[in-house]
Amino acid sequence: MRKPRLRTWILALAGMLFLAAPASAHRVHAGVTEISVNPRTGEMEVIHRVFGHDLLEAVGEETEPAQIWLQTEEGLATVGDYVRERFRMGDGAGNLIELDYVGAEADGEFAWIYFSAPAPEDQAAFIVDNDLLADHFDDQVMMTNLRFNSLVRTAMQGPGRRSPVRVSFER
Amino acid sequence: MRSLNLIVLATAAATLNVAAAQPNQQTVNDWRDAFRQLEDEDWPTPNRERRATGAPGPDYWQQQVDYDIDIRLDEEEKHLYGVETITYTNNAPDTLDFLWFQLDQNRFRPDSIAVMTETVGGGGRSSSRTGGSDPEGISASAVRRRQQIAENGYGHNITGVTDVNGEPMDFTIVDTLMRIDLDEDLTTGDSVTFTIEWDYRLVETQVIGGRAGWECFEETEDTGGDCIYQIAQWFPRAAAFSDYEGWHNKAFLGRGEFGLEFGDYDVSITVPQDFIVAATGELQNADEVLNQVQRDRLDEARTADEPVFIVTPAEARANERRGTRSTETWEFRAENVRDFAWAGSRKFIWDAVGVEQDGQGEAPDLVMAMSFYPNESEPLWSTFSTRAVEHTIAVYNDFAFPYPYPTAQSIAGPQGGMEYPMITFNGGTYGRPVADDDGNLTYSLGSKRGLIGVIIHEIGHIYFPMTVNSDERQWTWMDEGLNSFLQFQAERQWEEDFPVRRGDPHSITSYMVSTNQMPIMTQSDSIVQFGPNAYSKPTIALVVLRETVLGRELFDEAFRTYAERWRFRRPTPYDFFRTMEEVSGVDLDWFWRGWFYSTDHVDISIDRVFEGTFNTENPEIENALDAAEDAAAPESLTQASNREEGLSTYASRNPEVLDFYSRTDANIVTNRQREAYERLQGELDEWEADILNSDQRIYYLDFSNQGGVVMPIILEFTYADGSTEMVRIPAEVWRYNPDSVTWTFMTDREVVSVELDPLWETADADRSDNYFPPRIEPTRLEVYRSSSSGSNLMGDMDQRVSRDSVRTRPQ
Repeated sequence: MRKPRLRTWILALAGMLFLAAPASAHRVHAGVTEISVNPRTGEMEVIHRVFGHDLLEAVGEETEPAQIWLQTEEGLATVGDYVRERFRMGDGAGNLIELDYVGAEADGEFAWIYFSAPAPEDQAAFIVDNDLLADHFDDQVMMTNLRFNSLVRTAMQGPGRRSPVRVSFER
Repeated sequence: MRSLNLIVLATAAATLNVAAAQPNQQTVNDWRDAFRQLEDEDWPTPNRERRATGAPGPDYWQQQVDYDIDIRLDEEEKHLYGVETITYTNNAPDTLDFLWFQLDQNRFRPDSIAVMTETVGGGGRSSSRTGGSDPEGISASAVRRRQQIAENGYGHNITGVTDVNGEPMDFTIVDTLMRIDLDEDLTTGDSVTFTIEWDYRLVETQVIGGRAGWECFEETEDTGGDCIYQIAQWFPRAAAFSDYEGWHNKAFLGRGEFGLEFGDYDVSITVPQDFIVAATGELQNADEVLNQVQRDRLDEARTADEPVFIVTPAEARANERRGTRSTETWEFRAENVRDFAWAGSRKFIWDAVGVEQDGQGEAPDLVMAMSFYPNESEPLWSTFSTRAVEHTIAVYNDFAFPYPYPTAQSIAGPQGGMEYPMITFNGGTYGRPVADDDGNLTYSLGSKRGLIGVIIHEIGHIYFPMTVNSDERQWTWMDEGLNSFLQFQAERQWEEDFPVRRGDPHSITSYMVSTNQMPIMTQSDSIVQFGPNAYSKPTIALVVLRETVLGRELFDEAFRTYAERWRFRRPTPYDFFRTMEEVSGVDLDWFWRGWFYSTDHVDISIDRVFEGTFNTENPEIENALDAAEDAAAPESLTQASNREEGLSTYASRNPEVLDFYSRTDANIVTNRQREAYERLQGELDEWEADILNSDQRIYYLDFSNQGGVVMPIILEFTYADGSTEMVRIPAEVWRYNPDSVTWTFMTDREVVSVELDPLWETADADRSDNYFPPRIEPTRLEVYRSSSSGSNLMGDMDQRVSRDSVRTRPQ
């Protein structure tokens, strides 16, 4: 059975719109994803944090602020689909790890998006591909912190560095 | 006799993630001097230009460069033609035989270092436009950009450099720099005057990038056509020449911004006659370029309570559809500025209000806050832009010094988020209006907050670095970090629930534990992850310094002193560090080391807590306590099991072996014990006796520094009666051993729990080891899942929230 690979290159043809990064209060398009196993629940938690108004802009929501929109069914579903498509992780061999969407919420100007999965058996290495908001802001930087085996490994993806990153937890 | 009662906490599992901190790492032992002074070793030696106090010295000098510029915009060609006469005054103790000038537009030449070195993996603003990381593909917009760069001939086209007599001077162009060879050596105190003629093609911002350019609108039913021009980095300007670096002549690669000199500007801007122009400086010929109505409105605005339209939205709309062949020249004068930018358009609405301030004799008492924006940015901009400018001035004046210029402007256009003296470009595609159900145009809450935030940030930059002239290229954090810190303060003061969390220390912990960091004190052009490094971490460091380490009073006084000392001067990070220490009276080297020089993070754990009470030596008390302890202890398992099995003891079968000791409680108070106690009482001094008889308890707390950065230890004790007490231990507690410390706490109440950093002040990255007894904190995800507002997508919920109402209703 063919396991889904992590990334296929799509050649963008004419018509792709270049979007100037709009002015935003923080001038920085950056987000963080934290991945670790919760010792109590035995689950692997994937927690994304991005700026709420950036997220809403990326999904085309222009009227409601994140605080309200992420309490609606539509808002939660839209964000879940959006993030599911743009963040993927796999084990050391590149086999995709299925993540379940837990939900999302706004806190201040941050938006938090939650996914979970059973704790992986093999925690020696992972491949992550974190493209959140990168389609909308070409200067978006996503930092992914993975914590396993009492170690932290960071994958940094940003302009010019969008390919999946492999991290290893072997000591 | 009782000895210390032991309450032991299981040691928290050590995370082996102590990043290597290098304050004087030893090779043969692992002693790490976290409190070692930076002066003498890492910082430049103070001199007569920059003192050890952090203040400018008696010999402090900087150059002065004055410009007289005539510039003309050819709208059709999108081309600018200019002539400038420069007067360069050399205040340095050096003799100069050449001068370096910056030609920043040259970074768009196809053969420039900036363009030629765009790499796939680099982190520049434009590196994404070289294509994706996979070499098989490239985006269409990247191709278009490359073509335009190759074909359009961007860059400064220098057509003449002549001396005061009109004679040509030698010059050499090196990428984005030009060296002008002087006819005569320029000695200290002398000035030289010469003229440069040039032209260049305006860049289309949305295709090429950059910080200036034009944006044209399509004419539709709702919006007029026409363009907005924002002009910056447009004239050849002197590179900085400083006491600590000489010529700042690194090529402009597009990221690290600018080092510039202060001077006076007289600028004449020739544009189509129906343009409205905003620029650095004060308009000198209003009677020529503005009509009577506009001039009257400007006067009215000076003393108005609310912004006044100088050009109304309807007038701007009508103006768009005109066209004209004739031109007009706007004349501006600006004094003591380090740069000059301007914007022009037929589309501009213009509003203004006079902001009063106490100039303290060194700044104007009235500042004109003004905004220029097209109808497409309405109604958001007329509602908030000028007011946000006004608010920024009020807050920043409090933290730093009175706004130093006569005007503060906010411009809408293609360029989002860029700052110049007296004028800022704040985007405009931002805040597109949305039609509500009645067809009325409105703006989204997110747009409102975003606009207010960006205006605060950009106007704030007029203080740092336009006035406190730090080197943006070498130390980006000195303007971005300081300014973001003040922006955060201004946002919190805008309205009650302005949602800001990024200034909370906890928000930086993910970055600080990550493995790709570079220290804040890193040269700007090479910073790989620009954002969190230059903007967030220094900002949070300042928040921590203000709220936790120094307190507001000491911090604000020191910060204000730094700003005032270096107003219109060029500070280095060391001037900032030294000033903060000298004025606050607090040694901060450990703080700079931890936060600015290292990539360690904060993670302090509370490992064990011992409780000790005094042994009173009084047998009446101690024996009773021993008895109680014995009674509290579980019965011997062997004894209990024997009894269950029905075994009997020898003594129970042969009672004649029972004696005095068998019948007497071992804890009974004997006469000998009483006598010994009375003798002891006689020997003790009164104060010793008092202590023995007091109810004092001593707690021994073990802490370890898992993250590397030493920080104050902030504790909240909870007592048996439910009351709490906060104790703040200064960071110096770590000075003998930066990795572990035992601290004692004396109290007469019984402690039942201790929490480390209860207010989340120290950016502690791991709170699981912050509690005694150990408390298991749920993760964010767990909290979310269990909270009632979390929507369950599996459909378990029987309540729904509809889009137009935040009250839930049963399904």
